[in-house]
Amino acid sequence: MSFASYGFLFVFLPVALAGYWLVARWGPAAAMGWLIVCSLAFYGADHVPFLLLSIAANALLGLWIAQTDARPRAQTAILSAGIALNLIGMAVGRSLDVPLPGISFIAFTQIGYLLDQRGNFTLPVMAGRVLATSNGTIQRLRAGIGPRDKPRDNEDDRPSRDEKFTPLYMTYPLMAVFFPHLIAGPILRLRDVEAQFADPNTWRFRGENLAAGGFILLIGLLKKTLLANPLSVIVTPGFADPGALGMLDAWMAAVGWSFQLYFDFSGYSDMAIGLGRMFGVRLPENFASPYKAQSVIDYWQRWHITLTHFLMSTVFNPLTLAVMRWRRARGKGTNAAAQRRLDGFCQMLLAPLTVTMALAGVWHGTGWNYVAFGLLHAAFLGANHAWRLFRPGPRSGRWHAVLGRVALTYLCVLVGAAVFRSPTLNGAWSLLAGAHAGISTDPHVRLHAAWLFCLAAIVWGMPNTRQIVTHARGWQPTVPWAVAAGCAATLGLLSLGGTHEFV
Amino acid sequence: MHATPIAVPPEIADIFRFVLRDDTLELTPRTTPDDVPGWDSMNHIALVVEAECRFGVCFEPEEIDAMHSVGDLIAAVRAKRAA
Repeated sequence: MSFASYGFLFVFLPVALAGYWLVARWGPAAAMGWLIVCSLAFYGADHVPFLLLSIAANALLGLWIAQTDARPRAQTAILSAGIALNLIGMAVGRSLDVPLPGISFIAFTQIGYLLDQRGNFTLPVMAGRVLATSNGTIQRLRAGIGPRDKPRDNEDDRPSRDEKFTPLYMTYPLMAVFFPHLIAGPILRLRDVEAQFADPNTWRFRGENLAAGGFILLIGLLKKTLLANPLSVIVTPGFADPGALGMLDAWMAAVGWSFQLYFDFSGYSDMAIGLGRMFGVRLPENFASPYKAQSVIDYWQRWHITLTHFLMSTVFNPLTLAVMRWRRARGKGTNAAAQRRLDGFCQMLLAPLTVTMALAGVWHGTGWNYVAFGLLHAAFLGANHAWRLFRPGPRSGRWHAVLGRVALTYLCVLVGAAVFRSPTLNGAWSLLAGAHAGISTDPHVRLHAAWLFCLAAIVWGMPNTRQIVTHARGWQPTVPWAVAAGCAATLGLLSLGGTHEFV
Repeated sequence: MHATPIAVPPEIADIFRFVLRDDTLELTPRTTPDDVPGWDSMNHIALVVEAECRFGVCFEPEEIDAMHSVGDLIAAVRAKRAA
């Protein structure tokens, strides 16, 4: 079920919210249970067995991993098997007759869960968590976890008999199926949500959450339906036969695709964050104006932030750590001077970077274009790191220098996006080199160019969703904002029935 | 989380100056990667590996992820050596 559909917005979401409003009065257990039921319903009967099997298998693996903290080799073997099983599950999920939506996000959420079990959850702590459902003692086991408005720092402030506590054994199943984040992210780690899931205040229905979440959902909906979907008119024909395009048409198709990808993906992330907020859950940010980045390194810290963090903490950092330890064991340096030498640069940076970005490419799909996309970005990032290592120093703040850096970064991203979208490398090359039929063959070229200029003004000239919502003079639950949101919602809903393509 | 130390031991400051190749570097326990040019994700790992070699300790990737300041590194080294 797509978030940007009448069925979701007018049937599923109102029922889920109304049910949540009703059952949340009975406490966190009922609220979390209701969200698990809603999430399974969101996926539909066809996919529920797969999801339940995945949750049960990973829960058992997680317990097993937690029990083997004293046996690192056994733990590594179980963890490796668990990761492999999830990757196989991801491949199976993609190959089903009806592919499981968001299978890559589901698999990475589960892998993150397994990784988080090392050293974090000993069996006594797990048992304590289960027992905590009745007496609330677990809230004291982790510093900082407790009702936000009722901190309990001393023994006199004991929980009252009537106070409801979060059943922490429901944290993992809910995180694993929580419908807002599994279609297109953000990728959740247990540490992102365990504190707020453990807080009973999270599971109270609040009007302010509904208003703020609804507004974020609306921004995402507009990005998806009004800005991203109509771009198919420019993008789809362009990528279908890039060899027949004129130079201007080809580059407009490439630029259009880069905008479509951004508005679609960040729109979906906004919708996920807004939906989570409506139910009281704050999901991590996933986009921060990525096309305003002034380097490719900066770009990856702004684009699909949760995937970047995931890959950095699980692939790049451990690989770099292993390489550096290996070098030190052989008497080789690892400091800034060693990183500037060719062997040090290749071993400590380029090799881990290439593996990480190749995996980032494969995560998006199984075609060679995705591998090429990953390797291309590894090359961009390698060049960026080399520049920083060999030409250190502060960057110029002059407007033309900033503009140049933003333009160069966007050009790299644009080339990467064209490779990502093209089924073959020749197709991508044809598109980017597109000069087969002069400047343009499209009769609507001026209209399309004006449209792309408007979108460029939004991309580079407007604040992002987080900036709009958190700015002191930004969104407020006031009448003018309500009127503006109502008009925007009307536009968004009217455009739901327009051109549709799953990016 | 460990308690924040009140001063940076000379041997820790020396690790930072050696890894980042900056003899003029001034540090406090509250110094973070945002305050020090060159303290990026790669040099973060290089700092930890240097600390491992000099103090004879070993950190897990999760422990390295949790170090967000000079004080975190000092506290983590002390905790490892005390264990």
